[in-house]
Amino acid sequence: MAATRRLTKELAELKKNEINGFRDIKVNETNILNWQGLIVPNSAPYNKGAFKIEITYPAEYPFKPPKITFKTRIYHPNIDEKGQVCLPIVSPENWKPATKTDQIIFSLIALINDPEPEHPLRTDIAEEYSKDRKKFMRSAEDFTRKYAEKRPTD
Amino acid sequence: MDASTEAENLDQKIMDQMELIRKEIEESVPLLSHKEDIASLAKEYPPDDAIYQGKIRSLYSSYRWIRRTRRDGNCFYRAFGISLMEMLKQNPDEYHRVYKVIEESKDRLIELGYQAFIIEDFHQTVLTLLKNVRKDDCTNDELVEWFNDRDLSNYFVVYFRLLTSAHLKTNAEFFENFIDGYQSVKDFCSYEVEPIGKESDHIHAIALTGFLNTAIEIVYLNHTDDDLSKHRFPEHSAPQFTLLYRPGHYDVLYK
Repeated sequence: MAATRRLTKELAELKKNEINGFRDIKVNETNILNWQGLIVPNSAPYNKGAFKIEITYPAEYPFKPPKITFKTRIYHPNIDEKGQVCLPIVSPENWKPATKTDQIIFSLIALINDPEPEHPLRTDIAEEYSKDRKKFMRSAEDFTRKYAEKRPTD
Repeated sequence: MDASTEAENLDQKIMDQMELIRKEIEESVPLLSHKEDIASLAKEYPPDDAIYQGKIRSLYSSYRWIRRTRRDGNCFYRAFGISLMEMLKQNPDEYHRVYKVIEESKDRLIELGYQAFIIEDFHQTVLTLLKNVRKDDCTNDELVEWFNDRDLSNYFVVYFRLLTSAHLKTNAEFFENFIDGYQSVKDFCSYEVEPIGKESDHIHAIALTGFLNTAIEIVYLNHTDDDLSKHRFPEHSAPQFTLLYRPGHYDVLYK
């Protein structure tokens, strides 16, 4: 299967060259199409916690893109209550089969640190982000303390 | 049920419906058909449409067969691919030349920043296809069958999209003048060449034939008053095979 061949290589590469801010990659032993990992942001307002994400690859991978879902609640203009995130690099119409998972994760971390209020999934948070940055920072930080995972200490 | 759930359900229904239509197309049309009599084209247009019927009659004088491709946005690459393989099977000199270009293309892609371990699956699949073409017992039917295997065929499409992209990027200064609506050739490749399913145009044909140093002819069948128009890539070359272009779609023509 095309997907298994490719994902086995990608996983080995990711474990060898770790990405700053992404760790604890877990892959279901019976299903290589399902990965979990922990995003550990370095800048405010999300640097008070960590966020579990799930990467689900379709059987047609790499001809179709994977889906990214947040398993931990996050206060962010581009991530909705169900954990769905709108990330252009994995949009079905622009998906390039030569895109690697680490590029997707870099792009995700960039979006977390630098929200795009002009393409929101949460219009209320996007409005707050654009109009009252201080209030947004406070709300997001409180939310992170309340709902996010503990940051790993090692 | 609140309004937003209702809207979501509707979205889901539309998506399911589109998926169903996509599946129906998939099941009813192969990625590549066997050769059909060119006369079958006439039935696709109203009998009283003088422009189309006239143009199709003038096609008959030069071409006998058509090989159809599925309308999935990758038709150019599949039409080009089967034609290239059929040509290489007949022409040992060209075979050796093209084999070498493809074999070395992986290094060119790596120089352009693609990761070896990502492109090698695509590269290997295309090389395996080329090796099969050389075997004495490889028939045209087997080649068609190969291109109808979804995975293998998609590997081919992805790799030939990368080659197209490589030629555009390597000659960015020249192609910059032809990429309306994009800031750079790199962006154009990112949105209009490398994604699977993006339709191809003149510029893609120029780039792919440029990379492989092959010569093709594209016959345009559309609803303008002129006679059939033919374009050669590169210009003034002796074409090695011929594709038929109708707005948004490519098939293969045979004499």
